[in-house]
Amino acid sequence: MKMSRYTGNVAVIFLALVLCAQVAVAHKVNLFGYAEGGFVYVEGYFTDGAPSMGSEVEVYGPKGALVAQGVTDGDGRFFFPAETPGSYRVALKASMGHVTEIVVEVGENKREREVAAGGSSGVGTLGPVSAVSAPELYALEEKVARLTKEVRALRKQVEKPGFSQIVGGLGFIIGMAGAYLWGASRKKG
Amino acid sequence: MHISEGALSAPVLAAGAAVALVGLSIGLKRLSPEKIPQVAVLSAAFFVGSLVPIPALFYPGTVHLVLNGLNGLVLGWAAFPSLFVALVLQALLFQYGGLTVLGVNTAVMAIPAVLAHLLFIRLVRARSHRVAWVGGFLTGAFSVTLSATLLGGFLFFSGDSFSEAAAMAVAVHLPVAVVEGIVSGFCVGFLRKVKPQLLGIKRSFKMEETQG
Repeated sequence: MKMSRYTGNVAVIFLALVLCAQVAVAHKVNLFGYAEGGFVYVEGYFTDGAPSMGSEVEVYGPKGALVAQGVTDGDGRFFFPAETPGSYRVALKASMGHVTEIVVEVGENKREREVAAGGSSGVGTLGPVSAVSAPELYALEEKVARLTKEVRALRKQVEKPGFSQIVGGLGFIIGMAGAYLWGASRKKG
Repeated sequence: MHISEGALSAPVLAAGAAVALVGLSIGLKRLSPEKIPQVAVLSAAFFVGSLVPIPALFYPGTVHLVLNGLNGLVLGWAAFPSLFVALVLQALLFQYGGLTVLGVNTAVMAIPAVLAHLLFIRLVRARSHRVAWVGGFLTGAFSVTLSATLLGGFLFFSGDSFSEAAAMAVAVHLPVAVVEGIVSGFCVGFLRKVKPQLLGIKRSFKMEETQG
């Protein structure tokens, strides 16, 4: 067997593959969603961060019935009213067999925002709503908006295939081939 | 070009699994230990090929390299096990596709691969480099286009309207077909120079060529 030449070629090819994998983005549809002020907002996007625009959305309410239906806008976004508390199952259908779904929990309290604002002075010191001044409330809302944006960006990053997954997969394939060849050589010997 | 979990109906999933099983058993039966390194390398190429983005037409975002034609061209029926392993890993590690749709995705990828081998291997083995390059190009372009059509077909049998699903799938993958054809063409040219045995070309043939 010309094993040494094989190994050389294989090594070069793997190196090339790993290098091109570093600039990698790819393709799978994801959904991000949150409830706020009596509405549920969802955003569909592909693994490379591109919005999933014009995708069909179906929403099943807490009782399992279809409560809303529509199509995402140019940014992959869609929202629907969710007055009844409970869990809403949101299914997104992009074209070509790309589907995904998430469950968004809508809390009991419709006045979520006011209560959350009460916590601004620190954890556990939830004061009456009226004690919060308007600028404070405004600053807090801005903070939450920024955090939501950050979480969304992080999620997009986490959902991309990582370097370790790529190398792990390649290692698995090499291992399988090695194990098979080892078995075959033992049989021969 | 991976169908997600939950996009297909049960009979379609079962049909895909049956096709994949038949292909896998034929592929494994014909697999010799000498071929294992090739199977592994091409499996790895397919595994990471899906991470190479190509801008799509009429579609937000990108589609990716497929490389199933090249896989089939070199491996023939062994493309089934090779692509199957890569698809399992993509499903587990990248969450592309899914375990229940594995059969369908294997069929979508491997059927065109095997067909490309049967159709174009002669061209690729031809004496003329130009003919071989064209053979490589056709391998890449043909297999991606057929894969997209099969994907549309599977979606159709699960209730999507065929004209929409298939036309969409094929249209979106047109740039991929072109890129894939070019990549496959150059890969064939490279293999003919460096490792013609991989394409089933004997050494003596290469000698003749350089003399003539």
